[in-house]
Amino acid sequence: MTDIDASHIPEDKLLCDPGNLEAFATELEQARTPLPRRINADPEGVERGLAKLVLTLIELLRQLLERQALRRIEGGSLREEEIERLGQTFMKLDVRMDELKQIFGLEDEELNLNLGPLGNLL
Amino acid sequence: MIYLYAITDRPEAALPALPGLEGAPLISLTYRDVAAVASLGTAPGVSTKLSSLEAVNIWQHEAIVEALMSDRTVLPVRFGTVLADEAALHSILKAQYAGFIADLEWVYSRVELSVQVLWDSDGQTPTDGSAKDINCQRSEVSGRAYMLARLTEEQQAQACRQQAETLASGIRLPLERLAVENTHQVLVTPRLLLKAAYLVDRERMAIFREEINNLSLAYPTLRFLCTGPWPPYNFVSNRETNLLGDNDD
Amino acid sequence: MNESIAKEKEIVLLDLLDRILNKGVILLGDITISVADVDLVYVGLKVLLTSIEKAEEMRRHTVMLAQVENTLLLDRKTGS
Repeated sequence: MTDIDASHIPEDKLLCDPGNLEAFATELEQARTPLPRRINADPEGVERGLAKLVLTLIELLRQLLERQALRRIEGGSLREEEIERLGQTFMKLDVRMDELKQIFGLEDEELNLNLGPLGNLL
Repeated sequence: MIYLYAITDRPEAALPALPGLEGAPLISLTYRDVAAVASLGTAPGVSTKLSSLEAVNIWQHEAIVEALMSDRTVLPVRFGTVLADEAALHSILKAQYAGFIADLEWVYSRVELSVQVLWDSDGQTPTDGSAKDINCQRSEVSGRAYMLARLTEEQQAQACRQQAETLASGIRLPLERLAVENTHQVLVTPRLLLKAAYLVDRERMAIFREEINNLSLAYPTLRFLCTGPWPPYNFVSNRETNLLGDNDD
Repeated sequence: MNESIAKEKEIVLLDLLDRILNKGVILLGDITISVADVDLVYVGLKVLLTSIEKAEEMRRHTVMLAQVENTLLLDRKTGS
């Protein structure tokens, strides 16, 4: 969306000297809502929108499980072979997620859901 | 079709001499002490205009809202709000009247100022990838090594977040003192330390700007972006319409 | 000089977009159609024939979507 022509915008809205203009432009662009709040129902986007939703939910679960595993490792409540097995599993999951993202042509930043006032899911 | 720009007080005030979307004249619908400022549109025309998101449409909408704000209190309506007809608009004004009046009172003579702070990433944001790098050579690497790398990553991220919250609250404090209401988010992106909006009395705008300058001197490694004044987009309550069966007058 | 003014305007525009597309008085309508990242909220929609047709088509797709999604999730539970 940064290819919108901004020339109509008045100049007097900037109230201080921001210094690094380029950096702000990049971050503001990224900070905007990453996805439309609902799946775009246009026919071409249907499959991709669905993939985004499903992969986002899988990613959420993966993160929750991983967080829990890390907490247990920190707390010392896991045996060595359990840690090993968990690590192998999460590594495989990570690779699988990358493959799925590639198949659907999705970037990391696209896997997110905006929950309105609650912020983003991930 | 009615395209809606804002809800205002002073329904008797004359409308600004600006064209609405599709070049249609602005119209005003009054209900008791509030007015809704809108313009008439044709279905295909408005849809095309709105769906081709161009700066000129955005600015056209915003210019109308800001022109209204120069001589009355304004509740800006989200871009892209289209109603079927004046009857629908009337129903909304009637159903939501109390809420609109309360909001108008709250934002009377106040403006919204936007503040965003960049945190330069050198050495301050955690590198995401040490665990992923391990994963790339996974055939030689143990699951345990992976988990430990992840653990370190998480701990670093935690520490970073802690640092961000502390830094952000130092910045927020003097600004919040100058405002009557605020919204804020810390670390929306790894480099965007703070993203905030402040509802400020118009007369305090100058002091607020001064405070921003003070802060940028006090924190030379941070970058401050302050824009405004904006209509109070972040400080109006959202509403559910309840038009079904509300057409009795 | 020209380029930095352009950049400044771009930043101000992004700041404005963040407010004008997501904030302000938001009326929940009968139909919200998202086109090119912009929500067009149709409130009290009754008379717009062409829009209704399009909206109906999109609703059908959304229902289809929900059904496919349910199947997918079910497969995940029972599958590998």
